[in-house]
Amino acid sequence: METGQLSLADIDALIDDRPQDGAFRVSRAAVREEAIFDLEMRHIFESSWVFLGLACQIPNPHDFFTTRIGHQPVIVSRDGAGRIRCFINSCRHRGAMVCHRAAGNAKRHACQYHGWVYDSSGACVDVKDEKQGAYTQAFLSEDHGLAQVRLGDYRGFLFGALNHDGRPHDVPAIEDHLGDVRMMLDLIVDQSPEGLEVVPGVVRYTYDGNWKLQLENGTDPYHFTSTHPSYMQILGERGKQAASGGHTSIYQNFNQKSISRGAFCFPNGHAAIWGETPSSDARPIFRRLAEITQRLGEARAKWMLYTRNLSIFPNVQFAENAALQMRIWRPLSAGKTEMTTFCLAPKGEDRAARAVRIRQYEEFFNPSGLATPDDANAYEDCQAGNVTGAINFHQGYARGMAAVRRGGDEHAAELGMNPSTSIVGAFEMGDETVFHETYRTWRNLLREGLERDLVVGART
Amino acid sequence: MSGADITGIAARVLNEEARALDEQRFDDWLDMYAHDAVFWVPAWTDEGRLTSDPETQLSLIHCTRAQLAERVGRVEGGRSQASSPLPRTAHIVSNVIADEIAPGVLRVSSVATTHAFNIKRRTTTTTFALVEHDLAREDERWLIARKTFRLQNDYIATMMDFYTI
Ligand code: FES
Ligand SMILES: [Fe+2]
Repeated sequence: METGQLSLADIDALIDDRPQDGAFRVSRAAVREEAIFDLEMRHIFESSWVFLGLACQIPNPHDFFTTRIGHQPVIVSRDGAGRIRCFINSCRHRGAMVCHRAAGNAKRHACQYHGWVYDSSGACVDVKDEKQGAYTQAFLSEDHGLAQVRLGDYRGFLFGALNHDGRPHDVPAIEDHLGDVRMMLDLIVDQSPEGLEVVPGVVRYTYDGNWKLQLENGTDPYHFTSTHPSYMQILGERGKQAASGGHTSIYQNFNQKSISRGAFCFPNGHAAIWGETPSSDARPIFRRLAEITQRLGEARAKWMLYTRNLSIFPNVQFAENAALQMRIWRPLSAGKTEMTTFCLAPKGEDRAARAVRIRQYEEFFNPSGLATPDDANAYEDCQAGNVTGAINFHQGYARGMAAVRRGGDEHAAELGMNPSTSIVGAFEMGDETVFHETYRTWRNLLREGLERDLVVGART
Repeated sequence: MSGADITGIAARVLNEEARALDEQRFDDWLDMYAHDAVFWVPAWTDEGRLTSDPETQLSLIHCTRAQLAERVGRVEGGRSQASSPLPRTAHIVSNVIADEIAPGVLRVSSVATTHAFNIKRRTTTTTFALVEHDLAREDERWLIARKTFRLQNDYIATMMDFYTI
């Protein structure tokens, strides 16, 4: 497949979606083909809401961090008046990247090439030697500021959406884009009355596999017992050695017979899985449960102690099991992905709880830990095995199809959510319907994007 | 002891540690650590600093000796797909400087370059780091009481563990 040759029929064929026959299949081309990857970058990552980071990463005026929206470097900055902005990290003069630091505090960002200077709101405050520049009025009447990117801020979760080919896309308001998955974000940010913070230290890694392998894995309960037995064994041994009393890991007492797992699909590709936590007293927030219950009520307190993995399409997951991880990815090619990962915590947590959180985080989530390396290896095995079109479809999206229902269930109702689909069952069910709405959204965005391309192509 | 003697002793210990890892003699490697040893690989912040307090900040690895033993067991148990087959490695230790900071305690700085060949993927990764060991005299042996591994290229290729760095 080459980009120029992809037809709408090719895009339609990426999913075999026949509810009447109980069939849902995803083409193996989805993670393999560079032509698909190019479409994804242009029509998903560079055309719709993409997660940038958290407002609490830039608490003070002139704080900033840099990231990318698709391929495009951007700066997320709090200006002198305290307003958060996102602008393109590319000089208006000839395009050089202006800021080369990952994060910091700066009132000014100076381009090192010809010396244009921008302030923390993105405005150009100095065109070097402008007076002597013999400029015409045409130049002088242009805005020289760094190009602003549309910013969405839901309770400190920051999203950006690029213009494409100079045209604004009509993305919905961020609240509408997120829909009821907001209630799952609330469960993260409301754990402390003071809100969230990022534990200092950032971990970046790459894997040789498609970004959707990470997207799937984050809400994939089916792999847990077969991919992570070495981790479970270590926890089991610790449990035997530990003196009676408190647990040091939420997975102690893990018994797949006694815990259930549920999943929700949301509109616009978002998804979540949830389940009871085997040893919820090992959760750092456990000791603050009374305060949480009083502030938010029993249902929300219960849900905060659940294991919850949340995908916000297309590029971030919040995983709350052993600790709370924010993992942001950036596709580098069809077969390579960059991960940027953060340990999050409620503000004001006491020192002992924080240390428990950090150790559990490192063990489970780090690429230098006891679990994530096995996941990343599995992604690479998937990519390595899927290199030709010899087989058309995966068989990996069928579990749970006989049990899933449209709309919300009684568990969703506890949070006042109305998801697209709901399912709950035994841990061993290993639901895979949680991916369906995500893939439908993905395919629809590619289709709409290609349709726009074809219209533009026909005009030129 | 002269500075040269001390550095010679320290280099010998560090080289033996490297050799044990390269030959996958992980029990021998573990045996070089004191029972209360701490093995620490701090993370970097986006402001360009290494984290300095593992109780309030993130590390890549922060392990007691007991947790290192768990890692060895995990690798040797064959139930971690990321660890089997184990990569072939070459741990290169250089720039060793040692000082006796207390009677029977050496503080050793060195540079570590580690090449790891992933047999499954036929790829090679290289990490390099500034390392600090504290060595403590126990009976006739010098044991590793503390190891801090300042990973200089912290853009990790897929995974990292005690045997790849
Ligand atoms: S490219 Fe930035 S000043 Fe010329
Ligand atoms: Fe996993």
